[in-house]
Amino acid sequence: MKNNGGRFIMKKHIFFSKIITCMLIALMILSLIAGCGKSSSTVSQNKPAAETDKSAEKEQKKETPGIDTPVTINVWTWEPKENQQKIIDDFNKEYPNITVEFNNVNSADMAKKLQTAIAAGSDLPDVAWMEISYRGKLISLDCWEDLTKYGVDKENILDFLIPLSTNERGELVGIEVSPAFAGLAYKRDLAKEYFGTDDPHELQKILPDWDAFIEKGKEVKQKSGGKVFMLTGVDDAFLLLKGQDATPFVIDNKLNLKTVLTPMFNRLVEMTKAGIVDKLQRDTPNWNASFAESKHIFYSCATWSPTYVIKPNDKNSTGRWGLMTPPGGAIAIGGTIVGIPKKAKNKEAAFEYIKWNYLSLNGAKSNRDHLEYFNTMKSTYEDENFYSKPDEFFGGQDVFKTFAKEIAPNMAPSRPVNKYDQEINSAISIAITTINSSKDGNISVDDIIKKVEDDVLAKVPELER
Amino acid sequence: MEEKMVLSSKNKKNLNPYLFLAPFFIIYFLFNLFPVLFSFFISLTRWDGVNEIQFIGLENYIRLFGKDTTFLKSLFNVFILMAIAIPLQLITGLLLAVILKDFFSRTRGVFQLTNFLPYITTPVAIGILFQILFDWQYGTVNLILGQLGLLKEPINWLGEAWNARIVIIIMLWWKYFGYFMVMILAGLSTISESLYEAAKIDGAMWRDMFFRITIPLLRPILTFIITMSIIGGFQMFDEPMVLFQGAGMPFGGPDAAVLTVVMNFYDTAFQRFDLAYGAAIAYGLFVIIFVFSTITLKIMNRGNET
Repeated sequence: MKNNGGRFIMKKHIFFSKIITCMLIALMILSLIAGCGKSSSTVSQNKPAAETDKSAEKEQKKETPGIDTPVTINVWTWEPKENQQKIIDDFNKEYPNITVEFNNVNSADMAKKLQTAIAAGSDLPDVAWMEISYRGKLISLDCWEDLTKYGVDKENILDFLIPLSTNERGELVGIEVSPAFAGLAYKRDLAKEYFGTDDPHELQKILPDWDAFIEKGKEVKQKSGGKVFMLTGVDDAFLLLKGQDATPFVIDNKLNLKTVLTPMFNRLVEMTKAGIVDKLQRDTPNWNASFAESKHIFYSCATWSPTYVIKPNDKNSTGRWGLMTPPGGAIAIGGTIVGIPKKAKNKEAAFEYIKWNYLSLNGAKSNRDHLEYFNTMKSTYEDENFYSKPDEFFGGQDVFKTFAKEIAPNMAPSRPVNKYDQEINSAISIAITTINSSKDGNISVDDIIKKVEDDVLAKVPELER
Repeated sequence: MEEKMVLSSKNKKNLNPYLFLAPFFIIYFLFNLFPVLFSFFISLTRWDGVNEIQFIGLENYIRLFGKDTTFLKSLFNVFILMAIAIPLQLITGLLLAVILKDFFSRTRGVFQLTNFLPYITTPVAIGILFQILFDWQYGTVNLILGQLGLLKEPINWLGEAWNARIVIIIMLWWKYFGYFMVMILAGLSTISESLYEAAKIDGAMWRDMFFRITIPLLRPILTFIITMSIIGGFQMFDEPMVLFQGAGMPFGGPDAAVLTVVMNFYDTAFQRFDLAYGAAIAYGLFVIIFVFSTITLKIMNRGNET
């Protein structure tokens, strides 16, 4: 009896430990599955990707998703969806079967997020926004659709945009969201006081080139007792100079920085010595505050600047600003392209979305009317009144027309984007800080450029001097 | 028959501990050990996360310790910042702790809290605060110095290499001496009062007690704080990052004067996506931290062994 009881207890014990063991094994297997989930799904995703391509081709003959069947496309952008909602509504009037979903990614984090997703093999967007500063590296990766294969004709797109959207294999992998032509914005009251006129064309005659700009700057300095500057800082001057030259930074794996930077840096040092540029740095609180003050006359001004920079920083003024072509010619500052990853799920629908938004007349109108965006098609700039909207903030000047009819046709060719842009620009920005910090401009341009080259080469040893 | 059953159940019993430990080990292998080993493996390759992994042996390490001026500069920056900031923090923390314990025993709590507050403030807030304080044109520090007549021209605190380092040192000192103080106060409470009483009876001055009782008996806690500060110092990241990010300055400050090793690692691996070289930097840093913390421990414990 006792013995039986002992057995019973033992059996019970074995029974429970069996249950626990089973549960633990199940847990282990579960956690293993969870841990390996990603890689196994990556494989299964990769492998049938080609198959789905094939089946998609087969299906395409029957029906195009998004046009014949409903489909949802995922857009990675930093623009909040409510900004774009009206444009999406217009798009859906023509393409009711394509639902557009936004996934907001901060502009500064976009490269990181895309590259992490590519490296990890996780889901990619159907459309991705790429800003100019890191675009070179991203589009050099062989993971973007060549849009010419979808029938995009480069001839119809503004010439200066092509080098900004093409990778080293010559593939056009993106379409500009809103070409970022840039001119020079100025404070009318200060212009009138120091140059006797606030008319943009008169001012362009007074300031045809940088030599004239520096000479006039010296006069302003004298008249104002050193209190008024032509520009806010060396970095703003550099933006303008950099845009006016299209010589590549790298040619055949060799750094071409000495040739490109020497004339620009000399100019900057000349301006510093003349004391015509202040010491502010772009995108700092002081720089933002300077828009409402009366210490600086000129600011570089891209198509996005009035809405996102000038108006928010000088809220209480009306008719105080003007826009003109800068000395030395119009340039581009910034800019964003949209591209389609090769591994995107709904490439056709994504292209339809891009085509309508950035390569069609209706899209151009919608973008213009709802967000004041410009578009990429040459034809719209030939039309006299496509972009026209007098702006009281700019003293009644037709800023839209100035951009479209005066600045856009005079755009300097643009420097092709390059996969080392990030390293080069970060080294240059250190040099610009050095020039900005020097009180009298007594610095050797050769030394600074050598430092820029050293910085770049330390980060990218595969390049040569 | 029965014996066999007992045996087999014994065997099963032996399995149980392993099963109970399994979840931890599985998670540890998947999320700790595997990444550690895998990142060592990719440090021996060339890989950008997209193209094929290319094995290149020790090339990344040869570049890191031989040719990479950015890495050497980041190491130099970290050394400078630590060499000045840690002694400052230690001296201030120690003096404050001793003074609070000996002279302010009643109001101690208030002082303890006020000095500890910077340590628990968000780095981003500290970054913005210091940007406003040390701005070149409109900063509070320059304004005060100017009004006192000490400056003819404003100092470009954030725009010049050595000034930028000074600001970071001030920031580190301000942020961490409270932490040092609290740790040392905890250490002080372990020293028996009877030692001080005995010393007093023998006619010892405050100074004698400080150098002959407090400091020697605080040794273990000082060793701990200094070693942890050195490890933390090599891993410095947020302070320089937040201070210069919003100040319109290039990554790593003017002339990369406050670029730390971890910032360089972050830039290489996650901004420029050179994952393989980033892994090599991380391992390089690991070796350096290991060497330095061993040396510090050896030096600090030297007295104990003899």
